[in-house]
Amino acid sequence: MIFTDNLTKFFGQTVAVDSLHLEVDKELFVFLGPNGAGKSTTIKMLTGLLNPTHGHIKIGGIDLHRDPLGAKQLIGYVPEQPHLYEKLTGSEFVLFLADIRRIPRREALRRMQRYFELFELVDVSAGLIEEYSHGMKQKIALVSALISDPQVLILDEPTVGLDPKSAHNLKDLLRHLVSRERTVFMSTHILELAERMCDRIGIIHKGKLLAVNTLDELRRQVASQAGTLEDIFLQLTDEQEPALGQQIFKAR
Amino acid sequence: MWSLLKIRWRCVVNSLQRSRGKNKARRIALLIAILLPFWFTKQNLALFSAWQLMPIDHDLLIGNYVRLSLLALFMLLFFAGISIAIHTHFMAKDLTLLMSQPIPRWQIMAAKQIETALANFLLFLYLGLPALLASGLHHQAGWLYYLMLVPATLLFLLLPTQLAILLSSLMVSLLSYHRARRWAMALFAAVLLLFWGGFYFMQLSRYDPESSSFQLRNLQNLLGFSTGTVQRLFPSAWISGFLSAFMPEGSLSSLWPDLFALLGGVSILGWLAVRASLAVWHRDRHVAVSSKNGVDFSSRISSASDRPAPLMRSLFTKDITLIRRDIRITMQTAIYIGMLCVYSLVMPPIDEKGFSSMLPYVGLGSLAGLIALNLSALLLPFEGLSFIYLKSASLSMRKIVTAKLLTAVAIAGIAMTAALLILLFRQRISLALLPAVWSILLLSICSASAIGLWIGAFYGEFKWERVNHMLTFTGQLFSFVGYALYVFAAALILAGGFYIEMTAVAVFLFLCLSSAVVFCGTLNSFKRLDRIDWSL
Repeated sequence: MIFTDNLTKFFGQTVAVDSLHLEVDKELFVFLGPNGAGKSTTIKMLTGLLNPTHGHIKIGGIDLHRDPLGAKQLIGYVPEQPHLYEKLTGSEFVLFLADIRRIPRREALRRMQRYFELFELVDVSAGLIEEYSHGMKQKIALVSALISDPQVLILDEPTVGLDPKSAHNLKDLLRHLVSRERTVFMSTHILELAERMCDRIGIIHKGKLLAVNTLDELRRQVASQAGTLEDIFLQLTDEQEPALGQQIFKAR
Repeated sequence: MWSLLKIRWRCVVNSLQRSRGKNKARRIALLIAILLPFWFTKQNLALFSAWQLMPIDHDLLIGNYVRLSLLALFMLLFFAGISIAIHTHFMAKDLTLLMSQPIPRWQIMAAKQIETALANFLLFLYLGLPALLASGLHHQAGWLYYLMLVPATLLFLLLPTQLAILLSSLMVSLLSYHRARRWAMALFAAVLLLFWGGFYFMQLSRYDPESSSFQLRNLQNLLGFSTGTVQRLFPSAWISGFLSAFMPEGSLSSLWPDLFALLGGVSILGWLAVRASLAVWHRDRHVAVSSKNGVDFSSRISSASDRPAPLMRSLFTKDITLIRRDIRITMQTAIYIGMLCVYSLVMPPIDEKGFSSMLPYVGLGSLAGLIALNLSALLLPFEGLSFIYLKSASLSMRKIVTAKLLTAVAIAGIAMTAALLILLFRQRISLALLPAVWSILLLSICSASAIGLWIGAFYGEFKWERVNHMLTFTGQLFSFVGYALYVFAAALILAGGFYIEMTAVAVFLFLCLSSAVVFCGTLNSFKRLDRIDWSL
């Protein structure tokens, strides 16, 4: 459902994403990488917010460059920071996004009620977004992405700011979506979350995709059978970091 | 406290050095911004030289003029300072970090006072400094006068700021921060409107058509200003009194009462402002949202349509809702609409013949166009970072731009129609003229909106947090220059056609010009939005 070929992004002379090849279909794919590795840049290119320097992106077989509107019709996107229209209420915002996704009003309201109940937003749905906490804004961003029942759901750090119950509900919901043959592409820093719920993991570092596989395959790949995802991640991204950390503490 | 101020200064310098659009246009805009106060100073000097030739006590007149200018500025600084103080003292994002540091809290609030005062500096630069500089130059003051201007300026800026902080503390103790800031902005807008209305209605020539705009009587009234003892209570009198001691004819011994008044005022008000803002800060912070603020889904679902809502209507409704709930844009628009209606109300009788019979409509169209320009230029950056949701949706940028054009044209068009009807009824002009004039004015509003969208797409800040700067300075300058060029070209075409008695050709050319502007403006706007790389 998501296909990228030789996807590259330069910011001036800096390579943010370097020749990325990916195929993600009807699964929960977790994208891991240290800060500045190129996760958010990749996600912004997948959602049409950034134009790639080279390469192609296809969403559901539709070329994002040639038919951006057709490709975007299949996507639901939750950005890293929930910058919503502060002067709209939560329900107005979600309904507005349902309108621009051409969802019948009655159906949009039904879905909104369901998701608002799931994320415990019903009581505050008529309050202005400027008065919401970060977690509440994050939930509204999630609902607005889910309201169109997208074929492809792209989430950039979706659990940041969520309370434990909502984070748990989100995990269940994502698994449920995958069982309904939806594609979920998610970036996260929470390795435990990735370890527990993903089908496959992609690890990106300095713009390059280092590994894409299931957790078991990754373990085999890096020859650390008993290791956790954290061990694999650290081994693949930068072997020096733990040693440096230990050195700093020893020096003290 | 010095470290706190230094870091704020570093932020300003960094934002200037690394901001987008570091190009020739930006440098020109900056140069104009720097040179403008000097041009105002030159204008003031020319005025003072003209007064010198009159049979009146011109030294007293200049003194009173400076005091009155500073008094008006003091009021503006006070009312502008309230919303700035609410932001810097209670809503700024750095407050949580600063308050958790091992720094005495009074120092944080004192630093915030200076930050608020300096945020008001631009008003002083354009409205206060030219009068003081011109006064010094006119009296051939020595270097000490200009040196003393620096501490005097800081003290003068601090006084209205501290009063504003006191009032803002009271407001946020009664209302939520957002609501208090909305009210503060509404108050400032109302004061601006009052100032403008006051100046407009006080012109003597408005009531006495026979008299010219210049009246010696007005100057004599200005001379009488110093006889009032009340004016001695205002800081405007203190600063001018303090500075006049450094004039050639002044004596240093006379500066002490004014200096003590300035220093005493700053110390006492500063202490009170710090105490008041800290008292509010230590209060229980307001709860995010009411727990009884939910939507009744069952009734809404039962009455909802089974079809999607029309797309353009959704975009239009969203923009109107955002404008309606944003006090800045609402008040700004209300001020323009107020000016438009006052313009129609106080219009002198229109000549029935000649090109001058068209001028009132040109004026009305220009003002209505200004409303459209201002609104449309802000409508794109007004989206803030939320624009990410529209950009990532399967929605053509063309539709977004068209919806915004319609929004600006609808608001400005309604205001223009109301003003035009007032004008026609007051001047007893035949209503048969209405369709032709209305169509031409509406087309000029469409053009102004397109120019605004064009500039907004290229020079929008796209940052919600920057309250006063949603359009860059260069963008503001370009939008007004672009609009002025359009008005000039349109007026030239219409006036030319009128004089050579080829009105139909002139109207056709005007139609072509306006259509071209609308086409180019909207096309460039949505192309830019399509291309924009969202590396936020």
